[in-house]
Amino acid sequence: LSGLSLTFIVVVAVYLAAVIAIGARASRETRTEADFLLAGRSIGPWVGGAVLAATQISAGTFVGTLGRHYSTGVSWVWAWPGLWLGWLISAIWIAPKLRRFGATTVPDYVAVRFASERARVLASVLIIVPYTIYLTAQYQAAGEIFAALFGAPPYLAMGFIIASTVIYTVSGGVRSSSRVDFLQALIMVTALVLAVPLLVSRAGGIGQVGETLSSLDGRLTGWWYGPRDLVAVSLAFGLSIAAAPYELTRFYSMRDVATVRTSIGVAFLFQGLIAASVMILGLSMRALFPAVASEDQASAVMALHVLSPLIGSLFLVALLSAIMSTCNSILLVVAASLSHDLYARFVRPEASDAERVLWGRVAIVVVSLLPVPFALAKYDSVQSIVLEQGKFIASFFFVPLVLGLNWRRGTATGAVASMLGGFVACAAWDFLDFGQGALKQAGVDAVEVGLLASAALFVAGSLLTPPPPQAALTPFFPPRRPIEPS
Amino acid sequence: VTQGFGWSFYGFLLYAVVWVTGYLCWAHFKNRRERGDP
Repeated sequence: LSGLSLTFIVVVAVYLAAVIAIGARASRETRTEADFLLAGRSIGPWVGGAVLAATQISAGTFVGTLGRHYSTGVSWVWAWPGLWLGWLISAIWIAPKLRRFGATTVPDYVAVRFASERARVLASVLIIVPYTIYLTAQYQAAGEIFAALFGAPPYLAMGFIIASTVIYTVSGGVRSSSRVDFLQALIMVTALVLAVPLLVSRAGGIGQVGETLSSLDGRLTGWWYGPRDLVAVSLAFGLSIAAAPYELTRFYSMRDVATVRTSIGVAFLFQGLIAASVMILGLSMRALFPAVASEDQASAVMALHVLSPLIGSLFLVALLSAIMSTCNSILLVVAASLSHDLYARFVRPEASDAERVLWGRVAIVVVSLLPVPFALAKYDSVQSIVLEQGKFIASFFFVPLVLGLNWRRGTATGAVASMLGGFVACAAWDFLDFGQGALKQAGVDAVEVGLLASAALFVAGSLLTPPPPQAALTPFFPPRRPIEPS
Repeated sequence: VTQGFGWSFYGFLLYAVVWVTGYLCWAHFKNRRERGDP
């Protein structure tokens, strides 16, 4: 452990120095709100793809997913194609249209498309609440992992994560966090790709791993999960990633529509490497140590006892990176909602660019501290919180986004009813009891109920009200070519 | 009887390669068409 501890401290120190240097450089290039929240719309495809992947990959992947492969074998990996389908929906129907529109925040889209400031406020509030809760899960994960590894008190790990993330996010906004995300994605892929051959050779080769696992339980190398389980998980993951505001805002910061499309492909490349590596690591760990106390400990045992101190440290830094890159994106999106959509819109519309940047920075610091007491109190498990916020986002935002961008008839009333109704239906299904227990038992999930309610309300609310003004549609629907007289 | 990995494992690796390559090709041609290149 001491070998790992020492190497870990050195690796972390080098990593932090790099992150702080990136933040300092980006802060010199950040003067206006467009610099701070959009990186001056300068992000290219490689950095863009890394940003999308790093934002999505979180502590859940390194601990939760690896652990799930450890305990249930191969088939969990088929949740990724569902997630990728969500990205594909985004690449075809969402991301290019949002980038072409080219605003600053996701509530900007809602306000302009539905010509309604009321809808903007609702979208902002509905983004702020689940994302602040999501931040709690990331902090909690950091606390638990480093308590398990080094016996450090949870507040120390949280303090470290918050301080380091806030430094580079506050200093250079989206510009520095995009560059740091790129570095983090490279670290994640390098750590995993180096760990795989090491672990597989320790376990006697990939064929041996397969044989050992199938002798333990045939389902480990075959299908532990059936199609119904995988479809439900895919739906929750896929639809929530397609509508996730912390990913959507990043499209605005990219150079152009072509960059947005290519970035999603680059993100697939990163995710494919990460998915396959995490699967192989989980499987090899099971073959090597068939009886680790809980699945969430598999990655810690691997870093401490199987990998060399250097690769083990790199793996832990990759884990830190995964947490930090998710945190920085959440902080940016929540802070932008507070400073751009609420403060600069309703409190001080006359605020100058410099003032908006200042308030964006203040909001990041405040939002970063809010979840700390909740994370220390540990109201729920990390995986449950992550899954829950995903369900809420998909329930209230997927429909207004996809239908709003692709159906001219969608109106403000439809959007407001859809957002509120989807959110409430999802919450009621999970937290109230009104005799829906049997349906829940049968596998009807809150995300399905939320989506259905949201879609029904969007369509009904829109058809019952007059069509939106043409000015609201123009940025999203290019004018049809006039029919030439024959 | 131990059989080792089957389709769920190798099938995914193949799927991932085909998906990533297929998507990148689609994005490339879609971008080229939008730019107006022949």
